[in-house]
Amino acid sequence: MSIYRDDLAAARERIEALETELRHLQRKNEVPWRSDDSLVQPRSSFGRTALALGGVLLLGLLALRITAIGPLAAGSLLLLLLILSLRGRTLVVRPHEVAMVTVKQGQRYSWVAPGRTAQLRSGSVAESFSLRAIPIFFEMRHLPAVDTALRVEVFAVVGGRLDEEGIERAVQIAATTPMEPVVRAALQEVVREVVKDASYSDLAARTGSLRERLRRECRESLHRFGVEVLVVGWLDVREEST
Amino acid sequence: MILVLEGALFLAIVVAMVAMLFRLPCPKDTALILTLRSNGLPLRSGEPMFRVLVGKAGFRSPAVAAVDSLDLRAFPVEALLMIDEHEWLVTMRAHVGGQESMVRRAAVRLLGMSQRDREAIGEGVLALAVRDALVGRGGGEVVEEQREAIEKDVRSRVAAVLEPMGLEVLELSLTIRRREKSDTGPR
Repeated sequence: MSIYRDDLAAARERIEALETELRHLQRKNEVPWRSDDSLVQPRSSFGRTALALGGVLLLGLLALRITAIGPLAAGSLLLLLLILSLRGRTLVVRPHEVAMVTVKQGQRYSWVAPGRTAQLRSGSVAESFSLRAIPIFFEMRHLPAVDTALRVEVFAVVGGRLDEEGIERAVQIAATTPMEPVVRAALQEVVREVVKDASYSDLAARTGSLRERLRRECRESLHRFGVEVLVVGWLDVREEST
Repeated sequence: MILVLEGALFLAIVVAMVAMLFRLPCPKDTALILTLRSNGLPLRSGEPMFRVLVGKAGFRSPAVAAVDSLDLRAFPVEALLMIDEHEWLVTMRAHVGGQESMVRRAAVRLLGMSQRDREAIGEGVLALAVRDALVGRGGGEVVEEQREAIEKDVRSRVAAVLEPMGLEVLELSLTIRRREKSDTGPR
Protein backbone atom coordinates (compact mmCIF):
# COMPACT_ATOMS: atom_id res chain seq x y z
CA MET A 1 0.00 0.00 0.00
CA SER A 2 2.77 2.44 0.95
CA ILE A 3 4.55 1.74 -2.35
CA TYR A 4 1.44 2.88 -4.26
CA ARG A 5 1.20 5.98 -2.08
CA ASP A 6 4.85 6.83 -2.78
CA ASP A 7 4.19 6.38 -6.50
CA LEU A 8 1.16 8.63 -6.25
CA ALA A 9 3.14 11.31 -4.42
CA ALA A 10 5.94 11.09 -6.98
CA ALA A 11 3.45 11.35 -9.85
CA ARG A 12 1.84 14.40 -8.26
CA GLU A 13 5.28 16.00 -7.85
CA ARG A 14 5.99 15.35 -11.51
CA ILE A 15 2.63 16.81 -12.58
CA GLU A 16 3.28 19.90 -10.50
CA ALA A 17 6.73 20.29 -12.07
CA LEU A 18 5.25 19.92 -15.57
CA GLU A 19 2.52 22.43 -14.75
CA THR A 20 5.14 24.91 -13.57
CA GLU A 21 7.13 24.39 -16.74
CA LEU A 22 4.01 24.81 -18.88
CA ARG A 23 3.08 28.05 -17.11
CA HIS A 24 6.64 29.28 -17.62
CA LEU A 25 6.44 28.54 -21.33
CA GLN A 26 3.04 30.23 -21.60
CA ARG A 27 4.37 33.34 -19.89
CA LYS A 28 7.15 33.57 -22.44
CA ASN A 29 4.56 34.72 -24.94
CA GLU A 30 3.23 37.56 -22.85
CA VAL A 31 1.57 40.71 -24.08
CA PRO A 32 4.34 42.81 -25.59
CA TRP A 33 5.09 46.18 -24.07
CA ARG A 34 6.07 47.59 -27.37
CA SER A 35 4.53 46.72 -30.66
CA ASP A 36 4.47 47.98 -34.18
CA ASP A 37 1.03 46.51 -34.87
CA SER A 38 -2.05 48.63 -35.28
CA LEU A 39 -2.45 49.72 -31.64
CA VAL A 40 -1.60 53.24 -32.61
CA GLN A 41 -3.60 53.56 -35.76
CA PRO A 42 -2.63 56.26 -38.16
CA ARG A 43 -6.06 57.32 -39.32
CA SER A 44 -6.35 56.95 -43.03
CA SER A 45 -7.37 59.96 -45.03
CA PHE A 46 -9.83 57.86 -47.06
CA GLY A 47 -12.80 59.53 -45.38
CA ARG A 48 -11.58 62.98 -46.24
CA THR A 49 -10.64 61.92 -49.76
CA ALA A 50 -14.08 60.44 -50.33
CA LEU A 51 -15.70 63.62 -49.00
CA ALA A 52 -13.60 65.80 -51.24
CA LEU A 53 -14.20 63.62 -54.32
CA GLY A 54 -17.94 63.61 -53.58
CA GLY A 55 -17.83 67.39 -53.38
CA VAL A 56 -15.99 67.59 -56.67
CA LEU A 57 -18.56 65.34 -58.30
CA LEU A 58 -21.45 67.41 -56.93
CA LEU A 59 -19.84 70.63 -58.08
CA GLY A 60 -19.17 69.09 -61.48
CA LEU A 61 -22.86 68.35 -61.79
CA LEU A 62 -23.67 71.89 -60.68
CA ALA A 63 -21.18 73.24 -63.17
CA LEU A 64 -23.24 71.72 -65.97
CA ARG A 65 -26.04 74.06 -64.90
CA ILE A 66 -24.08 77.10 -63.72
CA THR A 67 -20.98 77.26 -65.83
CA ALA A 68 -19.46 80.27 -64.06
CA ILE A 69 -18.83 78.82 -60.57
CA GLY A 70 -18.21 75.17 -61.46
CA PRO A 71 -14.54 75.21 -62.50
CA LEU A 72 -13.59 77.63 -59.72
CA ALA A 73 -15.21 75.56 -56.94
CA ALA A 74 -13.84 72.30 -58.32
CA GLY A 75 -10.38 73.82 -58.46
CA SER A 76 -10.68 75.03 -54.84
CA LEU A 77 -11.74 71.59 -53.65
CA LEU A 78 -8.86 69.88 -55.43
CA LEU A 79 -6.49 72.37 -53.79
CA LEU A 80 -8.03 71.56 -50.38
CA LEU A 81 -7.56 67.86 -51.05
CA LEU A 82 -3.92 68.46 -51.89
CA ILE A 83 -3.40 70.42 -48.65
CA LEU A 84 -5.09 67.66 -46.63
CA SER A 85 -2.92 64.96 -48.15
CA LEU A 86 0.24 66.97 -47.45
CA ARG A 87 -0.78 67.54 -43.82
CA GLY A 88 -0.01 63.92 -42.97
CA ARG A 89 -1.98 61.28 -41.09
CA THR A 90 -3.69 61.60 -37.75
CA LEU A 91 -2.46 59.42 -34.89
CA VAL A 92 -5.15 58.17 -32.56
CA VAL A 93 -3.68 57.10 -29.23
CA ARG A 94 -6.08 54.91 -27.30
CA PRO A 95 -6.43 55.12 -23.46
CA HIS A 96 -4.26 52.03 -22.88
CA GLU A 97 -1.20 53.07 -24.86
CA VAL A 98 1.38 55.73 -25.48
CA ALA A 99 2.51 56.56 -29.00
CA MET A 100 6.28 56.58 -29.43
CA VAL A 101 7.11 58.66 -32.46
CA THR A 102 10.54 58.38 -34.02
CA VAL A 103 11.50 61.21 -36.33
CA LYS A 104 14.39 61.68 -38.75
CA GLN A 105 15.56 58.07 -39.18
CA GLY A 106 15.55 57.21 -35.48
CA GLN A 107 17.73 60.10 -34.39
CA ARG A 108 15.06 61.76 -32.30
CA TYR A 109 11.93 60.48 -30.61
CA SER A 110 8.86 61.98 -29.07
CA TRP A 111 5.74 60.60 -27.45
CA VAL A 112 2.04 61.29 -27.26
CA ALA A 113 0.03 60.65 -24.07
CA PRO A 114 -2.94 58.23 -23.87
CA GLY A 115 -6.27 59.48 -25.21
CA ARG A 116 -4.77 62.07 -27.55
CA THR A 117 -4.76 62.65 -31.28
CA ALA A 118 -1.83 64.17 -33.12
CA GLN A 119 -0.59 64.73 -36.63
CA LEU A 120 2.02 62.27 -37.82
CA ARG A 121 4.46 64.04 -40.10
CA SER A 122 5.64 62.25 -43.21
CA GLY A 123 8.85 60.33 -42.57
CA SER A 124 7.95 59.72 -38.90
CA VAL A 125 7.33 56.24 -37.53
CA ALA A 126 4.87 55.55 -34.70
CA GLU A 127 4.95 52.61 -32.31
CA SER A 128 2.74 51.71 -29.40
CA PHE A 129 3.94 51.40 -25.82
CA SER A 130 1.35 49.51 -23.80
CA LEU A 131 0.12 50.67 -20.38
CA ARG A 132 -1.96 47.50 -19.93
CA ALA A 133 -1.67 45.28 -16.87
CA ILE A 134 0.82 42.52 -17.66
CA PRO A 135 1.06 39.29 -15.64
CA ILE A 136 4.61 38.10 -15.02
CA PHE A 137 5.45 34.71 -13.63
CA PHE A 138 8.95 33.40 -13.08
CA GLU A 139 10.82 30.78 -11.13
CA MET A 140 14.27 31.28 -9.63
CA ARG A 141 16.32 28.21 -8.81
CA HIS A 142 19.37 27.71 -6.56
CA LEU A 143 18.76 31.04 -4.90
CA PRO A 144 21.18 31.44 -1.96
CA ALA A 145 19.47 32.13 1.38
CA VAL A 146 21.10 32.41 4.81
CA ASP A 147 21.01 28.67 5.50
CA THR A 148 20.27 26.87 2.22
CA ALA A 149 19.52 27.17 -1.50
CA LEU A 150 15.93 27.84 -2.49
CA ARG A 151 13.57 27.60 -5.40
CA VAL A 152 11.15 30.52 -5.48
CA GLU A 153 8.12 31.08 -7.71
CA VAL A 154 7.13 34.71 -8.07
CA PHE A 155 4.02 36.25 -9.55
CA ALA A 156 3.55 39.93 -10.33
CA VAL A 157 1.18 42.15 -12.25
CA VAL A 158 2.77 45.30 -13.59
CA GLY A 159 1.63 48.14 -15.80
CA GLY A 160 3.03 51.40 -17.11
CA ARG A 161 2.90 54.42 -14.80
CA LEU A 162 0.17 56.82 -15.84
CA ASP A 163 1.84 60.08 -14.81
CA GLU A 164 3.85 62.22 -17.22
CA GLU A 165 7.20 61.57 -15.53
CA GLY A 166 6.58 57.81 -15.46
CA ILE A 167 5.65 57.69 -19.14
CA GLU A 168 8.73 59.74 -20.04
CA ARG A 169 11.01 57.30 -18.17
CA ALA A 170 9.39 54.19 -19.62
CA VAL A 171 9.53 55.57 -23.15
CA GLN A 172 13.21 56.50 -22.71
CA ILE A 173 13.99 52.87 -21.89
CA ALA A 174 11.59 51.32 -24.41
CA ALA A 175 13.02 53.49 -27.21
CA THR A 176 16.36 51.76 -26.94
CA THR A 177 15.80 48.33 -25.37
CA PRO A 178 12.96 45.80 -24.90
CA MET A 179 11.07 46.51 -21.68
CA GLU A 180 10.21 42.96 -20.68
CA PRO A 181 13.76 41.76 -19.78
CA VAL A 182 14.41 45.01 -17.90
CA VAL A 183 11.34 44.58 -15.71
CA ARG A 184 11.97 40.88 -15.17
CA ALA A 185 15.61 41.47 -14.22
CA ALA A 186 14.64 44.25 -11.78
CA LEU A 187 12.08 41.98 -10.10
CA GLN A 188 14.57 39.09 -9.93
CA GLU A 189 17.21 41.36 -8.40
CA VAL A 190 14.81 42.44 -5.65
CA VAL A 191 13.80 38.82 -4.93
CA ARG A 192 17.49 37.84 -4.74
CA GLU A 193 18.18 40.67 -2.26
CA VAL A 194 15.20 39.79 -0.06
CA VAL A 195 15.95 36.05 -0.02
CA LYS A 196 19.67 36.59 0.63
CA ASP A 197 18.99 38.05 4.08
CA ALA A 198 16.41 35.47 5.14
CA SER A 199 16.42 31.82 6.12
CA TYR A 200 14.16 29.13 4.67
CA SER A 201 12.13 29.03 7.86
CA ASP A 202 11.61 32.82 7.71
CA LEU A 203 10.34 32.60 4.15
CA ALA A 204 8.20 29.52 4.69
CA ALA A 205 6.77 30.85 7.96
CA ARG A 206 3.59 32.85 7.75
CA THR A 207 5.13 36.23 8.51
CA GLY A 208 4.15 39.35 6.66
CA SER A 209 7.33 41.42 7.02
CA LEU A 210 9.26 39.73 4.18
CA ARG A 211 6.26 39.86 1.86
CA GLU A 212 5.84 43.54 2.68
CA ARG A 213 9.55 44.17 2.06
CA LEU A 214 9.34 42.45 -1.32
CA ARG A 215 6.34 44.57 -2.32
CA ARG A 216 7.95 47.82 -1.16
CA GLU A 217 11.29 47.20 -2.83
CA CYS A 218 9.73 46.02 -6.10
CA ARG A 219 7.58 49.16 -6.20
CA GLU A 220 10.58 51.41 -5.56
CA SER A 221 12.77 49.57 -8.06
CA LEU A 222 10.29 49.56 -10.93
CA HIS A 223 9.07 53.10 -10.24
CA ARG A 224 12.41 54.31 -11.63
CA PHE A 225 11.70 52.55 -14.91
CA GLY A 226 8.27 54.12 -15.26
CA VAL A 227 6.51 50.89 -14.29
CA GLU A 228 3.90 50.47 -11.58
CA VAL A 229 3.67 47.23 -9.60
CA LEU A 230 0.00 46.39 -9.15
CA VAL A 231 0.68 43.23 -7.15
CA VAL A 232 3.72 41.07 -6.37
CA GLY A 233 4.52 38.15 -4.11
CA TRP A 234 5.94 34.66 -4.02
CA LEU A 235 3.63 31.77 -4.75
CA ASP A 236 5.95 29.09 -3.49
CA VAL A 237 9.26 28.69 -1.68
CA ARG A 238 11.01 25.34 -1.60
CA GLU A 239 14.29 24.14 -0.23
CA GLU A 240 16.50 22.45 -2.79
CA SER A 241 19.85 20.78 -2.78
CA THR A 242 22.66 22.79 -4.39
CA MET B 1 -48.46 71.04 -50.75
CA ILE B 2 -47.07 68.08 -52.66
CA LEU B 3 -43.73 69.85 -52.86
CA VAL B 4 -43.67 70.28 -49.05
CA LEU B 5 -44.54 66.62 -48.53
CA GLU B 6 -41.86 65.51 -50.95
CA GLY B 7 -39.35 67.78 -49.21
CA ALA B 8 -40.30 66.40 -45.78
CA LEU B 9 -40.01 62.83 -47.06
CA PHE B 10 -36.62 63.54 -48.59
CA LEU B 11 -35.45 65.15 -45.32
CA ALA B 12 -36.71 62.17 -43.29
CA ILE B 13 -34.87 59.73 -45.56
CA VAL B 14 -31.66 61.77 -45.28
CA VAL B 15 -31.97 61.94 -41.47
CA ALA B 16 -32.65 58.19 -41.25
CA MET B 17 -29.66 57.42 -43.47
CA VAL B 18 -27.37 59.68 -41.45
CA ALA B 19 -28.65 58.09 -38.22
CA MET B 20 -27.99 54.60 -39.60
CA LEU B 21 -24.53 55.53 -40.81
CA PHE B 22 -23.38 57.19 -37.60
CA ARG B 23 -25.21 55.05 -35.03
CA LEU B 24 -22.96 53.03 -32.74
CA PRO B 25 -24.79 49.95 -31.50
CA CYS B 26 -23.50 48.72 -28.16
CA PRO B 27 -24.17 45.00 -27.61
CA LYS B 28 -25.17 43.74 -24.18
CA ASP B 29 -22.23 43.05 -21.82
CA THR B 30 -19.99 45.30 -23.87
CA ALA B 31 -18.67 48.78 -23.24
CA LEU B 32 -17.62 51.03 -26.08
CA ILE B 33 -14.55 53.17 -25.58
CA LEU B 34 -14.67 56.26 -27.76
CA THR B 35 -11.33 58.01 -28.12
CA LEU B 36 -12.02 61.67 -28.84
CA ARG B 37 -10.10 64.21 -30.85
CA SER B 38 -7.92 66.40 -28.70
CA ASN B 39 -7.19 69.25 -31.05
CA GLY B 40 -5.39 72.05 -29.25
CA LEU B 41 -4.82 70.10 -26.02
CA PRO B 42 -1.26 69.43 -24.77
CA LEU B 43 0.07 66.16 -26.18
CA ARG B 44 1.91 64.98 -23.07
CA SER B 45 -0.26 65.92 -20.13
CA GLY B 46 -3.84 66.09 -18.93
CA GLU B 47 -6.61 63.57 -18.63
CA PRO B 48 -7.01 61.09 -21.51
CA MET B 49 -9.79 62.21 -23.84
CA PHE B 50 -12.21 59.32 -24.08
CA ARG B 51 -15.85 58.57 -23.41
CA VAL B 52 -17.47 55.29 -22.45
CA LEU B 53 -20.81 53.87 -23.52
CA VAL B 54 -22.18 51.06 -21.39
CA GLY B 55 -25.19 49.09 -22.56
CA LYS B 56 -26.67 51.84 -24.73
CA ALA B 57 -26.20 52.92 -28.31
CA GLY B 58 -24.55 56.18 -29.21
CA PHE B 59 -23.61 58.26 -32.20
CA ARG B 60 -20.29 58.55 -33.89
CA SER B 61 -19.88 62.30 -33.98
CA PRO B 62 -16.98 63.94 -35.84
CA ALA B 63 -15.30 64.36 -32.44
CA VAL B 64 -14.85 60.56 -32.15
CA ALA B 65 -11.49 59.42 -33.51
CA ALA B 66 -11.59 55.69 -32.68
CA VAL B 67 -14.00 53.16 -31.22
CA ASP B 68 -12.93 50.07 -29.22
CA SER B 69 -15.00 47.54 -27.34
CA LEU B 70 -14.43 46.09 -23.91
CA ASP B 71 -15.91 42.77 -22.85
CA LEU B 72 -17.93 43.10 -19.63
CA ARG B 73 -18.85 39.42 -19.33
CA ALA B 74 -17.95 37.61 -16.14
CA PHE B 75 -15.05 35.18 -16.31
CA PRO B 76 -14.36 32.27 -13.95
CA VAL B 77 -11.03 31.78 -12.22
CA GLU B 78 -9.90 28.79 -10.23
CA ALA B 79 -6.76 28.26 -8.18
CA LEU B 80 -5.68 25.07 -6.45
CA LEU B 81 -3.01 25.48 -3.80
CA MET B 82 -1.17 23.00 -1.64
CA ILE B 83 -0.17 24.75 1.57
CA ASP B 84 1.25 22.65 4.39
CA GLU B 85 -1.22 19.89 5.18
CA HIS B 86 -4.13 21.53 3.35
CA GLU B 87 -5.42 21.69 -0.17
CA TRP B 88 -7.05 25.03 -0.99
CA LEU B 89 -9.49 25.37 -3.83
CA VAL B 90 -10.45 28.97 -4.51
CA THR B 91 -13.00 29.78 -7.18
CA MET B 92 -13.98 33.23 -8.27
CA ARG B 93 -16.12 34.99 -10.83
CA ALA B 94 -15.13 38.51 -11.75
CA HIS B 95 -16.07 41.07 -14.38
CA VAL B 96 -15.39 44.62 -15.41
CA GLY B 97 -17.54 46.75 -13.11
CA GLY B 98 -20.54 48.35 -14.81
CA GLN B 99 -20.01 51.84 -13.35
CA GLU B 100 -18.37 54.43 -15.57
CA SER B 101 -15.40 54.90 -13.22
CA MET B 102 -14.64 51.16 -13.33
CA VAL B 103 -14.94 50.99 -17.13
CA ARG B 104 -12.56 53.96 -17.42
CA ARG B 105 -9.98 52.14 -15.28
CA ALA B 106 -10.45 48.95 -17.28
CA ALA B 107 -10.02 50.92 -20.52
CA VAL B 108 -6.49 51.81 -19.41
CA ARG B 109 -5.46 48.49 -17.90
CA LEU B 110 -7.42 45.83 -19.80
CA LEU B 111 -8.32 47.13 -23.27
CA GLY B 112 -7.23 44.65 -25.92
CA MET B 113 -6.18 42.05 -23.33
CA SER B 114 -6.96 38.41 -24.09
CA GLN B 115 -9.29 36.42 -21.86
CA ARG B 116 -6.37 34.08 -21.08
CA ASP B 117 -4.37 36.96 -19.62
CA ARG B 118 -7.34 38.15 -17.57
CA GLU B 119 -7.65 34.64 -16.15
CA ALA B 120 -3.88 34.44 -15.54
CA ILE B 121 -4.05 37.68 -13.56
CA GLY B 122 -7.07 36.42 -11.61
CA GLU B 123 -5.40 33.09 -10.83
CA GLY B 124 -2.15 34.67 -9.62
CA VAL B 125 -3.96 37.30 -7.56
CA LEU B 126 -6.09 34.60 -5.90
CA ALA B 127 -3.04 32.51 -5.03
CA LEU B 128 -1.21 35.49 -3.54
CA ALA B 129 -4.29 36.63 -1.61
CA VAL B 130 -4.65 33.20 0.04
CA ARG B 131 -1.00 33.22 1.11
CA ASP B 132 -1.27 36.78 2.40
CA ALA B 133 -4.48 35.97 4.26
CA LEU B 134 -2.67 33.18 6.13
CA VAL B 135 -0.10 35.61 7.54
CA GLY B 136 -0.36 35.67 11.32
CA ARG B 137 -2.74 32.72 11.53
CA GLY B 138 -1.87 29.38 13.01
CA GLY B 139 -1.74 26.15 11.04
CA GLY B 140 -3.59 22.85 11.35
CA GLU B 141 -7.15 22.79 12.61
CA VAL B 142 -7.07 26.49 13.43
CA VAL B 143 -7.09 27.23 9.70
CA GLU B 144 -10.15 25.04 9.11
CA GLU B 145 -11.98 26.76 11.96
CA GLN B 146 -11.19 30.16 10.50
CA ARG B 147 -12.35 29.30 6.99
CA GLU B 148 -15.05 31.97 6.84
CA ALA B 149 -12.77 34.69 8.18
CA ILE B 150 -10.03 33.69 5.71
CA GLU B 151 -12.52 33.68 2.83
CA LYS B 152 -13.63 37.19 3.77
CA ASP B 153 -10.01 38.30 4.05
CA VAL B 154 -9.10 36.77 0.67
CA ARG B 155 -12.09 38.47 -0.96
CA SER B 156 -11.16 41.90 0.37
CA ARG B 157 -7.52 41.44 -0.69
CA VAL B 158 -8.48 40.30 -4.19
CA ALA B 159 -10.96 43.19 -4.53
CA ALA B 160 -8.29 45.70 -3.44
CA VAL B 161 -5.93 44.45 -6.18
CA LEU B 162 -8.51 44.11 -8.96
CA GLU B 163 -10.36 47.38 -8.35
CA PRO B 164 -7.60 49.65 -9.76
CA MET B 165 -7.84 47.56 -12.95
CA GLY B 166 -11.61 48.11 -13.12
CA LEU B 167 -12.46 44.54 -12.14
CA GLU B 168 -15.10 43.60 -9.61
CA VAL B 169 -15.43 40.32 -7.70
CA LEU B 170 -18.89 38.78 -8.14
CA GLU B 171 -18.45 35.54 -6.23
CA LEU B 172 -15.64 33.97 -4.29
CA SER B 173 -15.63 30.67 -2.47
CA LEU B 174 -12.96 28.83 -0.61
CA THR B 175 -12.77 25.12 0.06
CA ILE B 176 -10.16 23.67 2.42
CA ARG B 177 -9.43 19.98 2.41
CA ARG B 178 -6.95 18.22 4.64
CA ARG B 179 -4.49 16.23 2.56
CA GLU B 180 -3.55 12.67 3.34
CA LYS B 181 -0.17 12.23 4.97
CA SER B 182 1.36 10.75 1.81
CA ASP B 183 0.16 13.81 -0.16
CA THR B 184 1.97 16.30 2.05
CA GLY B 185 4.97 17.56 0.15
CA PRO B 186 7.50 20.15 1.15
CA ARG B 187 5.26 22.96 -0.16
